Amino acid sequence: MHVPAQKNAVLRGPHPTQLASPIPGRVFFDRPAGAQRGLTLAALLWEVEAVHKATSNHEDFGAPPERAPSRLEHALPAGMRDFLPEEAERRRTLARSLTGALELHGYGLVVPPVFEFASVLERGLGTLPSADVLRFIEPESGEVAALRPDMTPQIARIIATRLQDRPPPFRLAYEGTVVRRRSGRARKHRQLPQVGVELVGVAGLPGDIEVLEAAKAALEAAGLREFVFDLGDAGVARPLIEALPPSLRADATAALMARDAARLDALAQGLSPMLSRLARTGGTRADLDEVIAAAEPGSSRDSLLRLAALHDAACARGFSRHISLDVAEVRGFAYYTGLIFRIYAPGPGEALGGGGRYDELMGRFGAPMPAVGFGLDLDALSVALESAGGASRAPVPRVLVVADATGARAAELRAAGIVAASHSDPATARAHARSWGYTHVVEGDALMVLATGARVAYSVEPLKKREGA
Amino acid sequence: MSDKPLVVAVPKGRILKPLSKLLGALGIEASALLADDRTLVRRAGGLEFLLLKPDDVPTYVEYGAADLGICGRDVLRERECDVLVPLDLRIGRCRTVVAAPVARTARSGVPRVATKYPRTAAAHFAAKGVQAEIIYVQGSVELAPLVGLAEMIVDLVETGETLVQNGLEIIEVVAEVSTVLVANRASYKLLAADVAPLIERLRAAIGP
Repeated sequence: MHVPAQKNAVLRGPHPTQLASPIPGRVFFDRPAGAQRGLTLAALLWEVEAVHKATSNHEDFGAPPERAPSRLEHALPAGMRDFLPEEAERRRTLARSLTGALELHGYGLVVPPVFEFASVLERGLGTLPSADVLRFIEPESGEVAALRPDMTPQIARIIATRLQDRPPPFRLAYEGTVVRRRSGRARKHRQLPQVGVELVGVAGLPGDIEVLEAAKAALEAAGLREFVFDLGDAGVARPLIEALPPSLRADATAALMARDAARLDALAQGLSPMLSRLARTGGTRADLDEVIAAAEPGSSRDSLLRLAALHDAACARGFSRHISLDVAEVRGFAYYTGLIFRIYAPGPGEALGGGGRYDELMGRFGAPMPAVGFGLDLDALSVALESAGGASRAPVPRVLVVADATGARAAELRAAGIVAASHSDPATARAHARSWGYTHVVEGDALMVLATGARVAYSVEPLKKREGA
Repeated sequence: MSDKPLVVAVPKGRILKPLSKLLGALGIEASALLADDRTLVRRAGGLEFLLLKPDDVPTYVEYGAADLGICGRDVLRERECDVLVPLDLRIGRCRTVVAAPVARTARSGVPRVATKYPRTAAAHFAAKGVQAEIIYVQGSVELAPLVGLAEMIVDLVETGETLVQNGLEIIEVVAEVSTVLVANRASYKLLAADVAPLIERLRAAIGP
């Protein structure tokens, strides 16, 4: 039942006995046909009951109140959220500037579906705990499907199946929301808007550098100036962990992930002094040189040398202000085969994104090829941009046209590329314009600048000029 | 980026005394930490300290509301927060243990375990292949076996005096606990110029 918002007014209204019909001017109830013809008994009874319903305090009669649906009851599942117009607009602008920069680097946008068969997706899930995937039974096939928790496996599938007749390398970009049961953080976001790329078919340092440059260009296009690429290599710690007794490997990996040298010492008890050393190593090139000097010849040392070469190549390409090193990076090191990196900037207190090289991924989809890529977390990136002072661009003019009966004025503005909407009620126009972010109100032949209240004669030209500025 | 002081989350309570002593050894005048007032943000020695409930320290650090934090390994293990642990401060040493009444009768089936550390306790028993019913309580854990709420407890023990006084004894040690320095991942990288020297000074003060 729809309960009118003015129920209290009804409660304070005339006593039922004073009323021959429900509150005049308001139709609360559908009358039975008989009621319209005057005071038949049925109609009279109906009138009395209707008025009683509209005016009585249910508690007095012990009748269960029929509650109006409260606005707050329309909750979302935890971690899900809406974007309202201003925020959605900012988010779209951000995503466009990122994908625009990636397109300039030759990355073509692909749009994978929001869910796929779990068996396909899960072939390519490297770093994500299996428990984080939201699965359901797809009614059509009876198969288990999964909401995409990551787009990389989807891109791998697209390349291995849909694009198999095209020559490598593949440069593909994506933009979309992935869904996870929880993320690493206490706040447990489940809906993660991402932009990223995959570069498939370019091995080693040239591919690594290309992807790092694309990521840097995307961040700069979004307006971020202060950021750090923290570079590591999965091949540094992996051989050392694999040399430990199997019972210690999981704990040692977790300790290294937390850079917990004291715990590593306690766990491995001198089994691997190099692991503790990695956990204590700082992030500069000099720190890396010291570790290289201390490392035994072998694949771990080779990976350190590979990291040093990448660091130097990146610095030669303008990364020197934006780079640090982390020889102890082990996040998802069973998945990454070389470079692992994360991007940090002041503000969000967590990485804005990251990526790395996963040369074994494409093989899992039957098309073995080297692959490297990255993904940016738009939520974290938005926080970083905000804390860096935000992209305080001049507001785009948005015009509310009052009482524009023919719609000609709004049409003229739109034709000039200016946002224009009509508003029929002059009395509420300004308040409406303020709360919906309009910059100007057109009232008759006057153009009012909402911020200053200044009124000038209406013309399209000054609005156009501002848009160009 | 060094214009703002590093923010350090510290737990209110008895760890503040050895902590301010440790900072004193670095030449950081931190007696403000011990001042008997109700301010929750205190500046000392060029650092900004947030005085928090011990359980909240890793949360503040994980979100980046604090760059660094001081916290016990017991809290860290229980909260499963994604923070770095660059240094063990070697203060506040104690143990997480399983304890039961001295006078207990052997029982089969699913033991009931009262604890302030439900995740830690559940993981401990699961790793041993024991199915246990974990009962979360907020304090006075030692009481639980005395009144039949549980057969065992998992709790933090420093001297073991409380256990003895309540007729309990340690059955096994779950983990050694000490106080550690934790760091926000982003701060650790972005503020390395401030964070790394501080860690090195602390490491030197603690000794090998």
